[in-house]
Amino acid sequence: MISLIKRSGYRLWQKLPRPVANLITHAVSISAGLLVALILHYLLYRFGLPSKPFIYVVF
Amino acid sequence: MNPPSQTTRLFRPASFLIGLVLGFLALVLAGRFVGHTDWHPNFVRFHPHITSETLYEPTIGELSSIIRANCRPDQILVVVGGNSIFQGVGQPVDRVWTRHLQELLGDRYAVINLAFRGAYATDGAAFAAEAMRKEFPRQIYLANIAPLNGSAPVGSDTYRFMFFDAYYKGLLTDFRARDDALENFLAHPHIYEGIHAKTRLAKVDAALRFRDFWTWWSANLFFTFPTERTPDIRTAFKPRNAFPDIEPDFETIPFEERFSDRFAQAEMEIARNYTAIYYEKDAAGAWKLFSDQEAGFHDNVRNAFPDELKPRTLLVVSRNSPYYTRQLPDDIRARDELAIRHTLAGWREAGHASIDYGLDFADTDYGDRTHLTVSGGRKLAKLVAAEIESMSERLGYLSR
Repeated sequence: MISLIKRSGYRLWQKLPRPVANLITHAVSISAGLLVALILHYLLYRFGLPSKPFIYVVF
Repeated sequence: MNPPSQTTRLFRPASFLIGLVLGFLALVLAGRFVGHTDWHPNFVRFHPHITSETLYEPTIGELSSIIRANCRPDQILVVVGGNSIFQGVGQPVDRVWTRHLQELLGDRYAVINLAFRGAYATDGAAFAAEAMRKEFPRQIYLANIAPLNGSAPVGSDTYRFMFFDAYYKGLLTDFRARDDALENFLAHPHIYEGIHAKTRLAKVDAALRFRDFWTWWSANLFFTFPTERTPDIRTAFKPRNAFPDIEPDFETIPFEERFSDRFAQAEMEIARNYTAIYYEKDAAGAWKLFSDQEAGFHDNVRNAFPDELKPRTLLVVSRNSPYYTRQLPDDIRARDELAIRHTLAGWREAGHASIDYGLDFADTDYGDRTHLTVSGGRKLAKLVAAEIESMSERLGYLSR
């Protein structure tokens, strides 16, 4: 089943006019870049947080 | 028919890099933007779901935006810092003492409660007020302190992230003692674990603004991970602004329960030793401040706040509940009172304003050994309001 989907996708991809396929690959790569930027930015924030919350105790 | 190379170039490195750079740029700009946006409409105070107690670390931009949103340029800014006593533990949000302080001072002043539970006088609220010194030059900063407690110019370990935030974004005035304290930490990393990594991240954050952006995200869109206080799926990812301030009211808990035998022994022990480490008895039996403690206290007090900000800073010295102090031997009560006098004198000699509270408070004005009920908060507000008005007169704020 999976191989059937893969094969159909491959055929569909091959049928696309080249400019459209190019546009899609650029869009996908830019989106991947945006996503990685989001993840890296978030990880910088997470690295700065302590692993345990502050436990408030009255003195 | 398409050439086979089309299938081999699904990934475009140049486009990926463009996406990466554009993404970072957009996030940095978004961080800068939200860092100047108030995202706490109807702010009253910081409750546990918007503090380090649930791994939400407020930013200086966030505190500054709260100030900007709640204080008009024609008002005198009154920033309240300090710990849980001033934050209003045991006082529900609609009757917290700072609301009464606002009522007493009137529209000429804007009172903003930026105290955090367990914070020092020199923590986030102090840095936010300092960061706003040019925007709101007519300002008074106040915080509570225990007798003979100084306050490190770089704040407490728990809330030091706010110091780093303000310091590395260049929001603070030049202050040698603070630079020296930071240098000392950096030279002795065992004193403060992870100091080098934290300072490096703070420097990067000054450029990339990830704290501003993701803290805004956590407050408004969704929190990104479970914490000990929000472990289940229903609460873990809830935006932090969706949590209400549900501080219980001490006055709805019977007095006998608040001061039951269950707490008495531990609380009496704390009350008995409130000022014990600072004093010894001399040959004549009089209390005498240990010389090293005295020197340390004066050194701390001198270096807690930058000189230019000292005249507008009010330190309020706390007493324990009379329910406990009444049970102490006379000489220990005398030692505590002496400590209060020494503390007031120390802060005043160094150029700050300082008052104390609690001497004529009733048992019912305290919710436990140290925190105030609504009635105690009202008495505190009255004392503080009088001092703020007197400081405003002295500082020339009323003539403008």
